[in-house]
Amino acid sequence: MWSVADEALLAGMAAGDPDASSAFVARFQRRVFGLAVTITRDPRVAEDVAQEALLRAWRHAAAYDPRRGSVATWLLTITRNLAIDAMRVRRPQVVDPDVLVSLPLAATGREPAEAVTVLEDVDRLRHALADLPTDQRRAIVLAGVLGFSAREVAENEEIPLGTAKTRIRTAMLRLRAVLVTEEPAE
Amino acid sequence: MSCATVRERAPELALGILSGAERAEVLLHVNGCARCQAFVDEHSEIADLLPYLAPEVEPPAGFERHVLAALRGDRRRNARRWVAAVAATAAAAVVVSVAAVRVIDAGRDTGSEAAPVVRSVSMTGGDGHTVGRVTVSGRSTAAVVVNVDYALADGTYALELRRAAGAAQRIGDLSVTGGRGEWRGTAALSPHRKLTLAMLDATGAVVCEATLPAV
Repeated sequence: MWSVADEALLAGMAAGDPDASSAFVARFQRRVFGLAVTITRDPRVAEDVAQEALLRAWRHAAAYDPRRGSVATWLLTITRNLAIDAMRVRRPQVVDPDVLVSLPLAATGREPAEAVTVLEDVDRLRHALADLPTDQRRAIVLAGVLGFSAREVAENEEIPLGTAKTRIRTAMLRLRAVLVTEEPAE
Repeated sequence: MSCATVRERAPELALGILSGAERAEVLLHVNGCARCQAFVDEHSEIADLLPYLAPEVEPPAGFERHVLAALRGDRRRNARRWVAAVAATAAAAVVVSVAAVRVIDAGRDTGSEAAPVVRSVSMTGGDGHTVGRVTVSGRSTAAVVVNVDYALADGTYALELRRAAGAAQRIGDLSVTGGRGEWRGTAALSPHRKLTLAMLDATGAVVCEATLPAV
């Protein structure tokens, strides 16, 4: 849908086209590095994670399935998994997830038209998150963005494991009820 | 696992934070239940958006140059590996079945009749469910056979050899169709060191692994 140009770049990069590789990296490096540093909170580790994520995108380009999501989403998933792995041996001090929810999102004007659609979806997500109870919002952001396991959410929030799981599940169900069934505003 | 239990686990599965054991069980159910698959897909739509909350950040100076240089280096390494694999496969005698390990004529160095080095271990996903088998024959340049016989989702999985020190070596890709797949190839090993062979999905997540004892 919105990733035709992105898919073409990915295919070109996989085929060894240097111009496509350069364009692919230039297009996604800020978002990939941004997610990596958000999770790891260490710019040096984030740089390694981001580089590895882009290399994996090249290595596994043939495995990318457009039916399962956009190139950007696929790439961010790779980035998130790598960043989570990098944090396995050192989970940082207590994290405040509310900062992420309050950050403004704005199109830069440089994205393909399809990317603007995703930003609109993310904006709807942000509004839906703001309507969640605080404890559920914190749990879902810790898990969904920072990759905290339920146990890590429990430790961060100083709550029982069962409570953490319930908050995560309830938050996702509420978001699903709002976002999956709601039609975007015209 | 019942549909009710799967739907309870769906949010964590979509977020990628479900434990290996539960993840394997949920995936087993979802692979055969269209309604639960649709339920999980809806949660995945939301989970996919959450990472976008992280702000874009300009990477350090030189990042783009380093990545492109690494891409060029990776392409050259893959070309050399293919050539080496073809030559090694032609020289190695690899006949290993899934059910039993037969003596392999490989790795002889002194002309003695000593048995060659063959290691065969189960590959487990989650909490010990047997996913398949990994068999390695040889020491430094070994023939490797990976068999998968489990309800893994169809797709292409990367194969990595991981050493205790953390270094990982990608040795190939294994395609799974109908829960089954096989890969045969060669890999440069480190004798006397324990190795782990990991299968990674397209996102880089480890779906199963096998630990090969040191020889």
